[in-house]
Amino acid sequence: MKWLIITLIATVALLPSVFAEEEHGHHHEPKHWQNAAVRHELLTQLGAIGTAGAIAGGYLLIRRRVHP
Amino acid sequence: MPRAFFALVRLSFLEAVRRQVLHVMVLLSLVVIAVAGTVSFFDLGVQVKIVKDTGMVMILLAGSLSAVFLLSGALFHDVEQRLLYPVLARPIPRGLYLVARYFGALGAVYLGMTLMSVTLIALLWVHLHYLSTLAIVAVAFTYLEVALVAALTLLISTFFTPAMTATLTLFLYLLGSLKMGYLHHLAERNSGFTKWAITAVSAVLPNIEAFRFKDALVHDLTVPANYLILVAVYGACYTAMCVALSIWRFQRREV
Repeated sequence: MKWLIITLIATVALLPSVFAEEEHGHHHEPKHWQNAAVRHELLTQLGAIGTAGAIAGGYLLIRRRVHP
Repeated sequence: MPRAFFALVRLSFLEAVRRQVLHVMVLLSLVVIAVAGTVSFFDLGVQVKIVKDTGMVMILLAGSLSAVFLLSGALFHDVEQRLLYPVLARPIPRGLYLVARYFGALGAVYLGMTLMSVTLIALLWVHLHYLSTLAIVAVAFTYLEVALVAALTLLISTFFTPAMTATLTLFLYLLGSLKMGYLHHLAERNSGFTKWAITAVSAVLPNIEAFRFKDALVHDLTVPANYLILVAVYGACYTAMCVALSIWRFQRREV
């Protein structure tokens, strides 16, 4: 219950930032498809997911061979 | 095995379609989209922008909230009501059950979203007299965003109670939407452990903002095709990762 209340308060506290960000984004910042940082971040996360997937897949494959 | 999977998907879909929260969300959104498209206070250019803006927001809002509310309690309910045991007593892997639960609920959400999307595209056709390709692309990425939110909800629901799952998912959803504009600036302004913690959280969170092409649709902007492919691959991989982690967690959980 305590954690639920803390998360709820944090969520409500974040809401003004979301709307402020929307407004800010409309006027000053480049759109996300024009932003090289967004593209770089997406590629980095994709790389991390791919690496984690390859490690997990390799581990499962080895485990299956050791304990068929 | 495929027969069992499709039977479970069908059951999950039928259960989700009967939930009142989905009916309310879809009806409310349809009314808002229809009102925005038919009640005219402005000239045609402004009216079309309002239809696009309202339509996209309502599809996203109704889809995301329905996915969170349908999936946050699904697993907990099955365990509490002991509906899970007769299924797991058969030779059905837990992972298959979880994936079927996910696709069933997502199918119900997509059904509602399709009703809203068809209404939006029809209204745009009435105003513009042509089929907006960008509207279809923007709606398709909203579907992908909702699939990601649903997968995130499924993952969190394997750890927590429904209330905590719904709140935590919405919290992470907001953080993911603020990632580029807020969290990165916040990390730059801080130093030491705070900076490290914000950067670590930011690195794990999905970039929700990347799926939103409402601005491109409203202001008739062009989005590069290679960026669209990147976001589509990113969305599919992140969703698959969340589902895989859910299966991993659910297989180890005591039910």
